Amino acid sequence: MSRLQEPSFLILTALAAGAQHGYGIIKDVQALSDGAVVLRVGTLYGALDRLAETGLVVIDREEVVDSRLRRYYRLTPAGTEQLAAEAARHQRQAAAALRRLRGTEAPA
Amino acid sequence: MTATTDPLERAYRRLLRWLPADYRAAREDEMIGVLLDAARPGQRRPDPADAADLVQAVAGVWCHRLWHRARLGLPLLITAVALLVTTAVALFPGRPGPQPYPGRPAGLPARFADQSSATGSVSDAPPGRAIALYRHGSEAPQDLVLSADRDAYRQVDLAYAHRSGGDVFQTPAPALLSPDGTRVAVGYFQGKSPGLSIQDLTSGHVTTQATALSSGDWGAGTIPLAWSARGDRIAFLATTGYDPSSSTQPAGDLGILEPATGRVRIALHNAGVAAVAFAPDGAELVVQDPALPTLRVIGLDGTTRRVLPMPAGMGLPGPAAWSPDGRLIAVSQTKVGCPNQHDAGGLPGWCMAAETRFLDATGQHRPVPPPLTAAAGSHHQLAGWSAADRVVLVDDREAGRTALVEVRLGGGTRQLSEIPIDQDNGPLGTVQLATGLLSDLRVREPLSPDRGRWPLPWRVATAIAATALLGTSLVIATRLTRRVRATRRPRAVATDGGA
Repeated sequence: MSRLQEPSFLILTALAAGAQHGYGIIKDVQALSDGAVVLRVGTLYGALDRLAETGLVVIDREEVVDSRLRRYYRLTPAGTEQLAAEAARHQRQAAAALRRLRGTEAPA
Repeated sequence: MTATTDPLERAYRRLLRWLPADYRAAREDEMIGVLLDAARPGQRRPDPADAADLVQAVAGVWCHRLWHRARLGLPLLITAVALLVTTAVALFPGRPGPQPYPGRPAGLPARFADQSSATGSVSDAPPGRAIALYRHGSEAPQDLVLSADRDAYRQVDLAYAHRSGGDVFQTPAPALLSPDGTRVAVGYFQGKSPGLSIQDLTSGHVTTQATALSSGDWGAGTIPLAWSARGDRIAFLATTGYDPSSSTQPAGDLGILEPATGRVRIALHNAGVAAVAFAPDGAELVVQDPALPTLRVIGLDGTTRRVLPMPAGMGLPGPAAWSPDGRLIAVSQTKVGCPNQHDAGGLPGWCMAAETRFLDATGQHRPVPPPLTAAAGSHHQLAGWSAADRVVLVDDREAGRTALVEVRLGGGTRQLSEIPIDQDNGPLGTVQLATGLLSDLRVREPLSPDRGRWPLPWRVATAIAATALLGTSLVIATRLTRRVRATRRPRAVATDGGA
């Protein structure tokens, strides 16, 4: 299981709460990263292509809103599993960093 | 998809038009929707960052296709590396030519090599000291140097770099070989600023010396006329610009440049100069004014030392006119129509002649050798002196056959070398010899010519063609291999099943 780049991790995180369309993902990622990550459309769809190709996301449904096509994406079970694993890894690394900052752990 | 009047949407669609057709059909409307949702109210043009991001996305989709879907990644990677390598090799400068070996006699092949457009340039692969600088042809003229130590030929690319605009664009700039054959001085017929460039034939290194003159108006054209025997001075003519295909002689300031220091002095202001030649000690110049029936011997400061009467219809045959012992000055009877500088390769005074006579350089009317007369219907050109009593001539005594011959004054001729002529490309132009190397000149059997590296456009075109061939071969091989594997696989299963 390969590690996820930050945009992919944030996209999977955005989809963890349910299916979303492209613009929804962009807004959600911006909110999740406290504005630090602003996905542009080309980057978003490049990442979605890769995630779909590796079986982590699939198209959930399509809608037409104001004469415009909206396509919703959702996590697959593999995507959920990879996101969980990646989040746990982040959590372990963050916990280790905090322990060291508190001085409760010495280097190995 | 319906046509839209929204300029922002149209701009985005223009960018997305470069996506692969199937990808575009699947994604374009969806992406447009998101792009417009994300746009600012009233936005009419894409943000540069968004546009760059879309261009990057389009490139990414194409790369992904080639790499994964078509499975052509490895062949394309190999092709790209090959292109980089071949282009680098094509652009890489050549090695310097051999350094002059002190005391080693210069050589001349018994036959010059044929003209070839594959001949490389001095700058790409310096040939070392040269024995000759000559122009092959007039339709597609090539100014070439021939090495004094091996059968190496190079184009004097600096003469092409200094070409002028207008009518004389195709004519290479005037170039003059130094007496020791190690340098070429190149001027301009119609340059933008006055100056002479000197290229070292052993290293390819070019130094440019400004030749700005006191009179101010002259200098756009700078024509090198003669090197001194020691190579420490160059006489040049600074003109307002000169058309070498015209039938007029150039006029301007006659200057003297010392290449080592860059010092320029004006010998004659606003003078008509058909040709000049240095005295062997470099302290005097003999100057031919086309309007006068005499030759003037002047000092480097321009003061007239003496005036020599000149037979009618004759003129200085070029910078090699003065004999190495200082006793004689050669004058040549020019053929009908001369001066036509086209014949002479653009250098004033360099005309094929029917007869060459000798004057007493001291003006004291001492005895001189008898004239040299070309055979009926043929002409010759004085290229240098191999001794005080021997000259080297370019001789077209037979139709279509030009030779370098050594003639003993008073009798005796020896052919040194033959120069082939491509009749379709016009006559041979000026042939200059490294006059300081002629006293100990060996004639050798010609070997396979070393033409240096191919000209740059040839090398780049070959690199691209070779790489394209490699890439195509790899792609075809990859696909064939895949097809063969695909056809073998079911047979293997059938065999296993039958076992």
